[in-house]
Amino acid sequence: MAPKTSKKQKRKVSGNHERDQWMVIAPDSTFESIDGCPDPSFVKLRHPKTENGVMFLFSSDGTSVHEVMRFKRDFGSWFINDSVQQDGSLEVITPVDPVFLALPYLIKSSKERNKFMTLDQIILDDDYPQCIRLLHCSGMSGIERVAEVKGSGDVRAYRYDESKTLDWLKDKVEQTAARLGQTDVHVASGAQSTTFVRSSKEQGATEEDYKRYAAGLVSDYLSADLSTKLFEHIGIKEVSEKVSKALENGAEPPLKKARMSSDIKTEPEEDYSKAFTASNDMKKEKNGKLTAGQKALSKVDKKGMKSISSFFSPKPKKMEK
Amino acid sequence: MALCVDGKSLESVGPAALHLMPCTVEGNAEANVSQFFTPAIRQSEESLGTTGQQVSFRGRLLRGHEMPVPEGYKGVILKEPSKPFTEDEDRTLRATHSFEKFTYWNLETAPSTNDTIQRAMAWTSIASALHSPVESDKASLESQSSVTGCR
Repeated sequence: MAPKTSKKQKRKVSGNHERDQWMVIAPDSTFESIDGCPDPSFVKLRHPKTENGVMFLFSSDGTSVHEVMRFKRDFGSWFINDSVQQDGSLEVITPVDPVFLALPYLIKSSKERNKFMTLDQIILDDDYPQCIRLLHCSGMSGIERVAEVKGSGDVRAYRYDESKTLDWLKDKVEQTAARLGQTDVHVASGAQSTTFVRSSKEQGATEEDYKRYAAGLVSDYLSADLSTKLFEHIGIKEVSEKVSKALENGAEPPLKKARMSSDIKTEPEEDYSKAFTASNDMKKEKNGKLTAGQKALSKVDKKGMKSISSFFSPKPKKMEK
Repeated sequence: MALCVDGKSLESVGPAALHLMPCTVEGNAEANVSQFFTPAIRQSEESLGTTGQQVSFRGRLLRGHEMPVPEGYKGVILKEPSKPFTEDEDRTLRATHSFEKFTYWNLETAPSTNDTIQRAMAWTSIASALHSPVESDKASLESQSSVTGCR
């Protein structure tokens, strides 16, 4: 990897800093510039899970905030018309609920003072002063789902309410689980036909499986502490019970590393554990863009995924015997 | 420091022909893609009635899938025309091309929904569920999840 001669080599080694071109997919309206408003802009905000600074994108009118997810294969480059771009990654920009980003500030301020405060008193950050822009996001009205509210009209004060928050998160999980079902599996008429996780569905991916996965996704926007409480609240163990049983029965734990990196290289047609590997990989990629701290935390999820595949593979053999 | 996107630049850009290759090409430069790569693409009959694309690149078989950008989304190539001299300087990205679809290529394996790129597209839908407000329609949600339920 040592830079040999050219500028291009250098670009490759130093990665992001020297790059000058990005392939981006974003909602239609995200990049629209509105007359009299500032251009859409990328801004560093504190990530609610890792507490590190991560780039978020505010739309021109400032009413919506988006995150940037990088998807990258092990090897890849783009052909763009009659040119080559070495970097084969794709940035996917999706809207973020600003309440997730505001929640750590709300929790912190309530812990420190335990009194009602207005949002502009709560959402303050010396390291990431731009967080003030969250106040203008239309989704911020959702803050009422996670806090006690005093006052009315323009002057409203808030105090963190954990049980309200957990209910809100539960709704989030259910909403996401429902979408997972629709996305991965065509359940339009309760039919069995699916596309995304065909194999896991045939193996009986239950509502609980969807919920657990959805809760894992939601947890990517929560502190470790809150994430644990969420799993307790919805009554789902982060590791499936069936799995632990399978493990007790002496089933071999699957080769985690091999599975994790199997994204493109090995493609057996009928690998039932695959759908779960796939979802796991997706998380891996999400985390790949994020920080070491987040990677460390994501171990929790991997444990869940690993065990599920161990449930699928060894058991049928036993039954045949 | 702010990193802005020149929204006006999007209005005048045209579509680009895009291929995401399964190998790393070391370099950012001009290449005769339309002369040597594109004409070699063949439609192939896949099982299950879907048509895939095939091409031979450096003697290796690539199998491709044309991926539309998800509904409600838009593909853009953003470029930073000039590098800032200092850390504090404002930076601006400009759109150079737009795209509604692109073709991604796998090395020999058939494209499937487990591919990174297809999952990237699925993420847009999952993210919209995860990040849309949840207050009002709890009832309709419950009916949805009962449809999903499959015990």
